[in-house]
Amino acid sequence: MSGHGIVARFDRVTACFGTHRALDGVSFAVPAGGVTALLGRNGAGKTTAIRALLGLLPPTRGRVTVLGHDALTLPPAERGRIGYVGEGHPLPRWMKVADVVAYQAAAFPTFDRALCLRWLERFAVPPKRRVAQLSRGMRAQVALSVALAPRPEFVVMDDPALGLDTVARREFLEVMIDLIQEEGRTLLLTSHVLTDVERVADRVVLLDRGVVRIDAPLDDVRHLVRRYDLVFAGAPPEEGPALPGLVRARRRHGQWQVTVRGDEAAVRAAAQAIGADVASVEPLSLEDLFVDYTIGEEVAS
Amino acid sequence: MRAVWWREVRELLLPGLGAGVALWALGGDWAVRTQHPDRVALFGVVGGGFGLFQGLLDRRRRDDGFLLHRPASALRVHAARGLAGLTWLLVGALAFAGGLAYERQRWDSFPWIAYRDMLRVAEGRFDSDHGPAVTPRAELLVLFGLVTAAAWAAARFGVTRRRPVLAVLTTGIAVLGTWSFVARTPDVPSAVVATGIAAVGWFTWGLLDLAGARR
Repeated sequence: MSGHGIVARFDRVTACFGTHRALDGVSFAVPAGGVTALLGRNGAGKTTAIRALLGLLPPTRGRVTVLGHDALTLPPAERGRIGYVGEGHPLPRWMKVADVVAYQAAAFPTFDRALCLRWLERFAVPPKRRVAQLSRGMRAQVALSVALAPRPEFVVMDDPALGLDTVARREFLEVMIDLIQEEGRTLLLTSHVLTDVERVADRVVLLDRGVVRIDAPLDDVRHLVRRYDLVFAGAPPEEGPALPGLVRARRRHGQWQVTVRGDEAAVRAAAQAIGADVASVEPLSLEDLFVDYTIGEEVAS
Repeated sequence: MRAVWWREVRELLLPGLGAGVALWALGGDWAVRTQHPDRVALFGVVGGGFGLFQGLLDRRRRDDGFLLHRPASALRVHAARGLAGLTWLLVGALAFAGGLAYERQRWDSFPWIAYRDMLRVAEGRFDSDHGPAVTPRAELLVLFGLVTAAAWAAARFGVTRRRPVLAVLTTGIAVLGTWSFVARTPDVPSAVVATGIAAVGWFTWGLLDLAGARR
């Protein structure tokens, strides 16, 4: 791992595809030994960020470093320390499961074939079946097994639960929890299933239209970002209350409901300063946070 | 990178066999009646067609994380894939030689005699019902192989880079240029050198381009 406990770092990364800017000056770090969730709506830039991290996509500007090296010039030996499960679990469809295992084992010097076969047995995946004949859940399990078999220090998963049913997703999550509990592993994942993310993530990075909106420990975000119902003594302002750290404001029953990032006492004081009282405070689930940050409507900071 | 090479060889099974059958046919009776320059063009067509197919595969898998994320440089990965294509062209070359041997002297039931016939074809020492003028010399066999390889490399490069016009032009140049050499003069050696340079050039450029896309 890199000397400062950071496994990967994005430094003002911009990635353009023609006129479309998929990432716009993105900066964040993935600390060692935890789970970082990279969240965002479809098209927010998550997969682009993952691909830049693995050196599969050169950024237009900025720099990505992983394991202390520039991602574009990552030495092959270092690349072997990274496990990767791609979006949609891409595997050669004509290969049998055993062939996939052999193919990956030939490439990764640290590939633990016995471990891989134990995972496959746990998932009840027949080794002689072709990938094309596997269900989506089984394909995900094969992709995960071959990605973990080299015992990588840093695991990157791009929407690993994509297309999985509830039971398959739960099994996948259990494997991830086992993985996390192994000392020293670092996990970066993207996912749309925020209930799963809440169970496993230590840190959250939220991308919205190529820009980082949140980059903080999950507990801090949940503690600091809350929903407040404001009651104004007089007529409520038409354009929404101007509060520091305002994420979203909505008219509800003639008053304003605001999502604000900041210390509760400070928010109450700021509300009083504009002539409002806080009627209620509501903590937010990760899903509520995600929606409020990305909805992009009404008034937002 | 043997694992990558073997996987690519298997993935190219159907087009590879198709190219092999086509090259076998070029060694056949009807092809013997075709003048050498025209046969050069046919080799280019086979090579270009195979290169087109592999180029389409390359384009689809240019960003394939499962293929590219492994402890090896992109250059080695793409070199292994290129060698897989050349492997099938080599199989096709053997098929061509087999087709020639079959037509000029029917296969004996003993395989070692058929193998001897193939060697005699390569050495240009074959006597044929069609006369020595249409029996390919060894240098012509090399030329046919290089034209196939050049057309393959050019077509693959053009498709991978999404430049179909470039692919068609360069494949055409490789084929027609060589055809022109052979048709106008008996300067087969020069045509061999020129086509060989073109084949190596297109292969190397395509390899560096694919590998550079990730770096």
